[in-house]
Amino acid sequence: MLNQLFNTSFLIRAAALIVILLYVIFSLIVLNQVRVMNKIITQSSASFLVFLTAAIHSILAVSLFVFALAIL
Amino acid sequence: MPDIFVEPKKTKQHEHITQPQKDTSLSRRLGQQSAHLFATYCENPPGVFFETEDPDEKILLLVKRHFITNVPWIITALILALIPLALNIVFTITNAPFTLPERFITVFLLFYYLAIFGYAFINFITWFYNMTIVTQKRIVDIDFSDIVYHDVAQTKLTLVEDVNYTQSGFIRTFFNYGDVFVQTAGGKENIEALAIPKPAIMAQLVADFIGKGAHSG
Repeated sequence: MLNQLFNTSFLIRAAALIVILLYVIFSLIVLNQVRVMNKIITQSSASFLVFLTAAIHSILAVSLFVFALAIL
Repeated sequence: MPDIFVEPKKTKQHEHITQPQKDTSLSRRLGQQSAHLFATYCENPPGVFFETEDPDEKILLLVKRHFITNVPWIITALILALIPLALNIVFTITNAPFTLPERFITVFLLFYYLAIFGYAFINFITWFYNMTIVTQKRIVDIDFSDIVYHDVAQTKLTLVEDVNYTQSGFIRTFFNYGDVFVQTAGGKENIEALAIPKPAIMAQLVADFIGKGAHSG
């Protein structure tokens, strides 16, 4: 067990997953802020496009986390 | 009984003089531009609403920072995107051995490009949500920065005391953008619209409303 803890590969894998998870949380915060700002000011279809981009960004972050969990 | 006073008959010329002059303020001469994704200057933009807008309130002008102000972060994002390619070329030429397994490199690269996308997106929404709106009743200044901070300042046009704009430097003059400063009465916060296109028009639009008791238009 201790050997596994100090295994470089394991440490890199853990660090990568933690960083990606933090980025997922960050992307969700950005998505929420875009939603809040769209309530404050609505700019026809442009607001929807920005929200869609933020949603895609969050989906990509979650997908990367799942992908990293699977292959690392 | 003799007449004391007889009102003179109004001639056509006299009628012309007594007719009220047409309102030639700038607000009546604005066109209409849609507020698309990269719009920085919109006159009478259709489909734009803000949270505290009154039912009878009409947006006359919506301005954001000129798009040229985004060039630094766009160039930075492009350079960052090219770094892995450059490193790959360097490692190929120098035959430097990789110690990490390929799956780690794949994940790191994907994360790296996702982070660049995030960087570009944050900079874009910081530009997108920073704007100044002029209606026939007030000026609304929306500031969005640091992702989680936003500030909405508004002042009635009746409280505006003075407005001026500055446009200095070659790039600002060439691309016709500058800063507009709106001074409000008393202890109210002054409003600044920085690096906006056609600052003279916004300044003139606000100046037309100075001194008018109620909103016009």
